[in-house]
Amino acid sequence: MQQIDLKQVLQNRFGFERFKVGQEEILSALLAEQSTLAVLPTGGGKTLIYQMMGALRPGLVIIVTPLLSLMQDQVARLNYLGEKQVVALNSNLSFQEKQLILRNLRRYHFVFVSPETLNQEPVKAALQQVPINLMVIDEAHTMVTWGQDFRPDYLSLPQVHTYLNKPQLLLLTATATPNMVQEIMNQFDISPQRWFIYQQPVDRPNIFLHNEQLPDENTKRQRLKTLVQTIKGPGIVYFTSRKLATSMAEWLSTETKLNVVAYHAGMDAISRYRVQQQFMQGDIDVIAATSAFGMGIDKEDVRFVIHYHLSNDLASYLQEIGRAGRDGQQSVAILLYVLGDESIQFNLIDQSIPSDFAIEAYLDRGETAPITDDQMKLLDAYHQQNLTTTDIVQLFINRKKLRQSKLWCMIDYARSQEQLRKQISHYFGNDTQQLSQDMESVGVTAWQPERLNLVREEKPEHMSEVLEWSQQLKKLFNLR
Amino acid sequence: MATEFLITLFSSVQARRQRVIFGLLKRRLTVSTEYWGLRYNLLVYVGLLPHLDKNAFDQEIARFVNQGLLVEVGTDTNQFLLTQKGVVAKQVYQDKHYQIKYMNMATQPLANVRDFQQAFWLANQVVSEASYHNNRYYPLQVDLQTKNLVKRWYKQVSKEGVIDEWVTGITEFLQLLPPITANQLVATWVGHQTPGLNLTQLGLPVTWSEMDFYLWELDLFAYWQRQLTKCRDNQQALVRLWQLTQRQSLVSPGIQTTLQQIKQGMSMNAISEHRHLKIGTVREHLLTAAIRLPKEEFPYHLFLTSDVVTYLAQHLEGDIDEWRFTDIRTSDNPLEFFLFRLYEIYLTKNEVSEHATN
Repeated sequence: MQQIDLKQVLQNRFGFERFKVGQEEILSALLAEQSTLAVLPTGGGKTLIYQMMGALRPGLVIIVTPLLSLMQDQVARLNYLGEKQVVALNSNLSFQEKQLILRNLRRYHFVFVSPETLNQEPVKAALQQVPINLMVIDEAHTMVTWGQDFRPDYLSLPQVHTYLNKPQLLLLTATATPNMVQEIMNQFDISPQRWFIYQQPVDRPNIFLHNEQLPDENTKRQRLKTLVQTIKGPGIVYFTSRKLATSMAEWLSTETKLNVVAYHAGMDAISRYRVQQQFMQGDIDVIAATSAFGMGIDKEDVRFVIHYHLSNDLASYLQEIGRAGRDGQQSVAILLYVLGDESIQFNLIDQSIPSDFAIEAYLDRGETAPITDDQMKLLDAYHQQNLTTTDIVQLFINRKKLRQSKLWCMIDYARSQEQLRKQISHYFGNDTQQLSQDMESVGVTAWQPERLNLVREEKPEHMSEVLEWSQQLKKLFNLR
Repeated sequence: MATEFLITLFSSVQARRQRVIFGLLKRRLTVSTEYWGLRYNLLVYVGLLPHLDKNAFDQEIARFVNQGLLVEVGTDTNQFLLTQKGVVAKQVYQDKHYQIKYMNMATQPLANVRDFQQAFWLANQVVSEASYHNNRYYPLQVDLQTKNLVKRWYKQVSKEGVIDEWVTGITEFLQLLPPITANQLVATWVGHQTPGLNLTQLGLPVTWSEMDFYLWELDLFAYWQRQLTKCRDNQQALVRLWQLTQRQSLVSPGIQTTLQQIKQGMSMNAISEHRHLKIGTVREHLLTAAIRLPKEEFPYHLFLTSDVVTYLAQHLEGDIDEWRFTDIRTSDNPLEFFLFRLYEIYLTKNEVSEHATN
């Protein structure tokens, strides 16, 4: 094989001096025709890897990606980086638009696609006709999490991979336990020797971990306000519901005079764009978000991530706090917890996994009443794999148990009095010997932002007034 | 998006069908849905909420009923009236929220307004970045057709003059708006190092929701659209962009052809044979055209002859919504229903124009 000087390409074509940790190893493995599963932290430079593969080899790079909002960000990001031949295939397209893209697939270098769209016959058939450079599955952990619960098309990805004549794979995730890695790999028809696994330790030494357990909701709210007011920004606060993210953004803005803005997947594309770009540009102090925020956001200097609610599991938690401190500077992840907070997550599990009764009613008697469309599709998918009703019921019982046990790890973490870093690293099967013990604290009184140099210094600026339109036009169009 | 707004689509005197209102908002249209849309005077909202979720919609209606704001007429009719409490709630809502000013004067389908708005947003960003000679930025993610349309447009415009032309075009419109509105509208736009502002950042009334913000922006673009139709300078960059976005006509080309052929004296049967259309389709074309087009553009006299009108007028009186086809039916000929419906449309259009002149 011809030797390629990867550094040279990096410098000449992409304008970076050096690779981020892991990128070079992964690229070398890919060039050596190995399929690769890479566990890289958020901000670890995943985009560059497939972008560079697109530059080094001909053919189409297919990127399977879970969220529509994320897909738009990724297309915009590649556009920003100078790639023009990028397209997103998803349910937002009209029939004609989709036809147009499918007929002209050879013109594109990068196609982003949702699992649902990829699983459609015409899409698969069109992709089968073009040379494929690489098949990337982004946020690959969702294959074994969302796939089995509410996104049945994830279950078909291995079949689609076979159908497309087994192109080389690049599976990317920021969070996967050793079990998950194995589970993901096992789904594909690729021999173990042909896999390259890259796993970076999950610990991020520059993110200080701090937990607080509070007596009640009201105290928690007040505590959030104090933290937001006193910690150096910019920051992100995560909530479980869109409604709460919106109302808390309003409340925090009024109470703290900081510029706090809500962000969730229910907003339309341009509103999301405005918030993201304002945040990137440093106009926003704090984002009040649901978990939809962050995948695909490339802001380096986020100083704090606060969780007002628990995440569904430690993998999601790690993913979310990973948005802090990408620049390597001191940052903090704070988890606020009130005993019983977990009931929200337990309810979510109950709602998303159909009951035994509902499964039997649907599979044996065709009754659809208590089941959502997605669950129906999921049950059909399992049914087509020749599983009996009893098997399927058992499968869902196991799923529920698994998700509950993962949630319990999250709860244990929230309740624990010590060894926060160790718990996380241990959960992900990492070595825990070298972990720093003093970069964490538990309890309200233990919180010492001065020590971390994370005290908010800047006084909140009042939101600037909307300027006169003629002034705004001058700025927009560089007029004198 | 806030579904509370739905209360404004109901009336205390006219029972309205839940299914029709959903179909209108979502643009899932049948001739019947459009007819009732005309009767409810809600055609202006066709396609307003293309992503409206059926469950969310139904739940909201159920909530209105539970709160005593709406009452179902009879059982399982899916027709609702505002209660006294509902009338108050509607008024309270309207006082606190944005009221459309321009959209109801539009002679264009809402889809064109939305397409123009999307294309404008992206084109404005492109021109703004070009004025700073910057080509490294996050482009707004609009739908693919709009993206291609803006690309095509930008290839055609003269790169030297485009910034001036663009600013001139924008300025002409902004001068027509109240200054504060103009300031706020421009502040929403995306450009070079300008991410644009959202609802809560614009100094708009604090009682406004995302729905109001959406309506407010769309309404202003509907107004802009109306101004652009009057514009004579077809070469101006903004006008050209706008023209490219006007892809939907009020009636489809197929319906247009049917209407032309009728006006030229062809019979419905002849059109059906000639174009291999079912006769029912031809009738649907005509009813759709009658509903959507201004009264003077439809040849009512060809169908509603004096005999027909005399007969119908003798047998039908009172509130049009209460009329029953069975009261005038004389045979199995489907043409009878066509005439009945067309007569209703004709009278409704008269009511509306009388209302407008009074």
